[in-house]
Amino acid sequence: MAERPEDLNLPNAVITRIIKEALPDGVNISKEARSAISRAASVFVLYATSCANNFAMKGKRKTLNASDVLSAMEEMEFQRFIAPLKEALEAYRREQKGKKEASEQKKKDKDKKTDSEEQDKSRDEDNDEDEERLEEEEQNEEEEVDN
Amino acid sequence: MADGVVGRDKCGEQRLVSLPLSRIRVIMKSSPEVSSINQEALVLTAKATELFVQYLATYSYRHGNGKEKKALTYNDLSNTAEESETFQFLAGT
Repeated sequence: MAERPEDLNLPNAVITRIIKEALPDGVNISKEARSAISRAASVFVLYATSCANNFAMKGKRKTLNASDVLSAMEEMEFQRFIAPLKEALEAYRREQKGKKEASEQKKKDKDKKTDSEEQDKSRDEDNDEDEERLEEEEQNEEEEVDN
Repeated sequence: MADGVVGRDKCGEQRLVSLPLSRIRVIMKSSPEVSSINQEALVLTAKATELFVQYLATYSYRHGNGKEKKALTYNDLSNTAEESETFQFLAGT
């Protein structure tokens, strides 16, 4: 995929949804406003990354981690984000743990069930999606190691 | 290549982040001094960006003039960038 300037922007559909959910019902958002918010979000990512990277370097690490991001929020005076971010982090860690256990469980179930093939088929599809995602995550981790 | 951690979950659980992690990663990596990014840091940055979008939208709306017309306009946002200290890093973008 060629790197175009648009790729540094976030998808309009998702940005629009986030804005709509944040504002009261029935509020209109002009195209320019949405576009401005989208650009602002990209700038925010860059600013946060740069800040977080400073903390990583202070810690003599090359890899940005969760605590670097949290420290960056504090530095940028977005302390209000820290609590929800910590919750999100906990939820994410639980989810990762759960995913691993779930896919192990599914494999066990598959072995047990020989009847109801239809159910197994749909579970296979789910499994494939999960496996794809896991593979992606593994690939991502590999990328980081190479870097 | 899947471009997002969007709700494919069939259990009906709400996904943690709506923004595509791959895109967030591209933006983060465009910073030359960044070597690598741990997956958790990526998720948190994506989540923080969502929070930021919400905050910017609601702040601009509350403080802006569009409120009477029940609309959020570009002016509301540029005013916020110029007047609010928190959002000052946006001024000029």
